Amino acid sequence: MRRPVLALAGLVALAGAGCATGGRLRAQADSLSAETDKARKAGALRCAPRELAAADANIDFALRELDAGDASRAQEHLALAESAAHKAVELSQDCVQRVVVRQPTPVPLPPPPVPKPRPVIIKSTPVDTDGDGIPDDIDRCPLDPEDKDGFQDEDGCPDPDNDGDGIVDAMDACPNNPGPLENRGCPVLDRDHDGVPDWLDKCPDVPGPRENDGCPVPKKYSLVEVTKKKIEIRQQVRFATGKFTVLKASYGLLDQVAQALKDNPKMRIRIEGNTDNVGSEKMNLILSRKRADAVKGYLIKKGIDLKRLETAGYGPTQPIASNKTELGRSRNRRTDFVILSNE
Amino acid sequence: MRSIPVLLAVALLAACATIDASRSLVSAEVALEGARAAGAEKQAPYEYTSADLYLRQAREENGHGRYGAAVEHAQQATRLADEAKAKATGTAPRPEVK
Repeated sequence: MRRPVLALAGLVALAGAGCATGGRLRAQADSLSAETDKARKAGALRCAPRELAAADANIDFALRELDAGDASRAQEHLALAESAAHKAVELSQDCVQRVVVRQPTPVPLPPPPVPKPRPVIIKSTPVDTDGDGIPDDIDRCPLDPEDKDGFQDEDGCPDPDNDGDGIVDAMDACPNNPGPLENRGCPVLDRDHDGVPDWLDKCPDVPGPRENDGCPVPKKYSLVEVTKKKIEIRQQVRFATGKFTVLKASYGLLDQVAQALKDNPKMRIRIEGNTDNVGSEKMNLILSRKRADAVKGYLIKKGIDLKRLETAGYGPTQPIASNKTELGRSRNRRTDFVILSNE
Repeated sequence: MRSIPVLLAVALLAACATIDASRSLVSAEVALEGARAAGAEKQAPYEYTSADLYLRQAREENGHGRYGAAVEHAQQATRLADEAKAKATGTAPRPEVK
């Protein structure tokens, strides 16, 4: 009969001791929580973040273990929390340095008035953990010093790649302008807007296809050929009989002459009218001159600057074939485009 | 014979708990690694250290077979790691500077 009673008494005593231990550990946890709060208020989040985290986490672990009835593990975690909390408090003590500045005592005037208490002004000097000259309270990266490279130097964060092009500033030839690696981090310029970047464009100021390295493809003319001395034409310019009106059949030819002049913007030419020897020489001279002028007028209409065009009418005086045959005379009735200069 | 279904159910529940804990641990590890890669160790040391400690605790609980506690700690580790990463990458809302 006595044994069960003794066993029961032992159990009650054990439970009582357990409760007492649990209560003591909870009290310790509360005390440590108060300590971490104090450290947090003193700036531990900035000056001792790891210690503060360790204290907070271990207190939480301990409380959960106490809830689960595991006092021994709770005790271990509280010991860890205590150490971390003390360290956090210690490190956060210097977080805000206080400097006491005493102002000089005012010179007393006779009769000496009742001495005034010396004003004491307490100024707090802002902390700058990373030493970059930007106080922590406005420093977005209080642990990493600002790189002070002239780009966003006010935020306190280093900017290893100012232009965000993926090439670190040290390797970037244009650190403030984004550009691809192929262009050493510099922006791709395309002055002639032909889609070929300047660094690949052999003619950066004249548009041209990529296949021709950005240079314009030389025009192929079917009816004219630009030689050193002349714009050779493969057809004759045709005029109404005895008149100086250019026939529509020759518009295509003259369009190509105009294009050749546009493709060679510095070229100046002389349009020379020639006739065969049929009719009076005087009339032929006038006619050849007027036909040359008609061709000039057509080219001006096509956008060629008149300063680039001269005209001359030679009549029958400069034949290139015999006027005795029809074939020869037809060759002598001609318009020449003589190049005066091309530079 | 009657106890066999009960035993099977218990075994199944235990297996589920193990899987849950493992999954939570993996998620937390991934989140912490992400935070580390984002530079949270330096940029968000409080959150990063907390996440690390919770993950360690989760592993310990898992090792002792306390799967429920392991899941709780692992989830807390994941939350903290995500917070650390967001802070490090500048996506977290900045506290107002006065």
